[in-house]
Amino acid sequence: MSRRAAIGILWHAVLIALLLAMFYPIAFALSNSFKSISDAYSSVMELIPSRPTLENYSRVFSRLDVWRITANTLFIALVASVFKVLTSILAAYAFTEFSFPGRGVLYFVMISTIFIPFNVTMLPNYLSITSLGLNDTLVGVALPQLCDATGIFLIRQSMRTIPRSILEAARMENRSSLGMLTDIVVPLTRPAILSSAIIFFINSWNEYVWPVLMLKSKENFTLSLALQMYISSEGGTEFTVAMAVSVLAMLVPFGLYVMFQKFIVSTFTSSGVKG
Amino acid sequence: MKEIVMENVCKSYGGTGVVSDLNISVGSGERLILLGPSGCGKSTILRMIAGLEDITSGSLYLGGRRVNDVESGRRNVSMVFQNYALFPHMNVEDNITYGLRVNRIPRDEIARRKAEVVNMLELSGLEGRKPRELSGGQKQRVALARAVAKRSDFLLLDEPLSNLDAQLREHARKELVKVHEKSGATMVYVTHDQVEAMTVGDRIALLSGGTVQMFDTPSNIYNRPANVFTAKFIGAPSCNIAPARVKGGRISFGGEWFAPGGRWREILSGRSEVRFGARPEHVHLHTDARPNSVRAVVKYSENYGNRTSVFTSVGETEIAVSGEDICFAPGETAYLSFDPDRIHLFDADTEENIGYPDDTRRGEDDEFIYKHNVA
Repeated sequence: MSRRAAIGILWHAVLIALLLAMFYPIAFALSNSFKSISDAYSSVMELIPSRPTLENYSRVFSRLDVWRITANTLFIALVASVFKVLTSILAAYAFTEFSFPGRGVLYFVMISTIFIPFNVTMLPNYLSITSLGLNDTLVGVALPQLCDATGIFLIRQSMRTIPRSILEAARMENRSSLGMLTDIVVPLTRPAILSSAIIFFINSWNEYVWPVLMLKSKENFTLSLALQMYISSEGGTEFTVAMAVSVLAMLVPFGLYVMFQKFIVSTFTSSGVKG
Repeated sequence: MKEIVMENVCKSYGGTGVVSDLNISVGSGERLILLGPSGCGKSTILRMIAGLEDITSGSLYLGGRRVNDVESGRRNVSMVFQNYALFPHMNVEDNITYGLRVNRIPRDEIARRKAEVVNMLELSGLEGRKPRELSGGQKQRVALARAVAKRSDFLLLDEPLSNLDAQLREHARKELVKVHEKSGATMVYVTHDQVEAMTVGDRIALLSGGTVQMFDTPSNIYNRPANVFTAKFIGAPSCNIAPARVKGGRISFGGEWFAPGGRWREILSGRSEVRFGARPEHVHLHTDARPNSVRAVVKYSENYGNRTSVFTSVGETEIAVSGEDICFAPGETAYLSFDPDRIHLFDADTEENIGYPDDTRRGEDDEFIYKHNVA
């Protein structure tokens, strides 16, 4: 066997192992959500339930206001992703199109905020939101998530690939900067904008720590918080119900990914960032 | 009122001069060519007229109005970019009408102009295509159509044909002249291609190192080059230039003597050195010695099909000769003669033209006057 073939096989083995490691928890949740609690304890590792049941799902829907909780999660995720994308487009455009003193430094400072851990900003944010009286509200959860340096970075990388002469051609038609942004720049950077939006949406959808801090009343809960109710010490015995909530929580991000997969992959490969 | 006037225009980037002390005026409806090697500043000049580059000092007037501080979009100029700069996400029709829509031209007027340029540039049937679905020639025509549809007074073109293959380029060049004549705009055209410059231009500004070497009609640039740079830049093969000694009205290079005679004696008087210039097509090659001919040895020849160029050496000096039916083998001895009306003499130090016996230049009148007139 040639050296090349051996390396190929080795790589595939590694990739298959990684795929299984990522796929297994999902399969585990999916299969156990269709088992009765007794079956789940006797055969937790079985991927195909021997006696599939929808009992866990009906229990979730009877005990929780699933629609309300999903609507809450959707509201926060939509507000956060729409605002993050809007602010990122404007900032990225400013950093690409205009030259002003201190542009490089400002951009560097902006990008370096990506590396500030959540724990550092958590407390100041909590105090600010509380003093605004927005504790235990959905707006309070969304408010600190209205802009994001990652989006500025991704969208700016994409804007930089637009040839200067195209913008100059628009400028010679007496088009304003904002007009050029809407007519030329946004349509040409649509893949980057869409994939940033999806990433923001999914991140916010899966957010746990911040909503836990903010939200107290059950009618304001998000899906992550609802899930937590079943895996905490009080509800720990009903782990098949928890799996059903997990599966429900996965559905929306999964659907989005399937729909926009093309853009997500192309943005990360073209910007040189590994996803 | 479509003149372009540049007065003492300079451009520098952080202290590095790119264009210095430019004085050019272009008449209404004229075609000016900015010609020169890459890096000579020609594109910078065009971009300054377009308003895409600031002018460091001096004044630029478009139609009598000083526009140094007028934004690009308010200068009434349109431009064809070297890479065409078509909007990739818009189809041909939207590309052509973009500027008109943005400037809120009435819809029926837009339709009329679009129909006109589509017809003029043979784009019908392509209106719905995206730029990536077009060939290079089609893209070039769309870019031109977009510029013409704007009906501005000033049409700027930045090497518009450089991305086309040779055959297409010739066709596009003729079309471009036709389109310009219909539009009546004042045109400034940047190129590094001397054939384009000679065929398209009413006048050519030949640039080198950010300064104008010569600003004149194509005919005068060819027949009456103002300096060595101009003589060598225009013409292929390039003009023969030889350092020469002068004695008693005779010129010597490569150890051979040649007497141009006539009024050249007056022009040469008081000089001991010149640069002698003769275009290859104005040098004649003979097998036997003639009066006033110089002896040369043939080195090699190049056949272009319609003509042949023979490269000879006169002593240490290489002299190229080109003509229709000349056939010499390498190593052969040949005799060169020069038509005294078609030689050029330049100052040995400044490389400026020292004048001609008949001081009237061929072609149109203009302000250009030789610095070294014959007394």
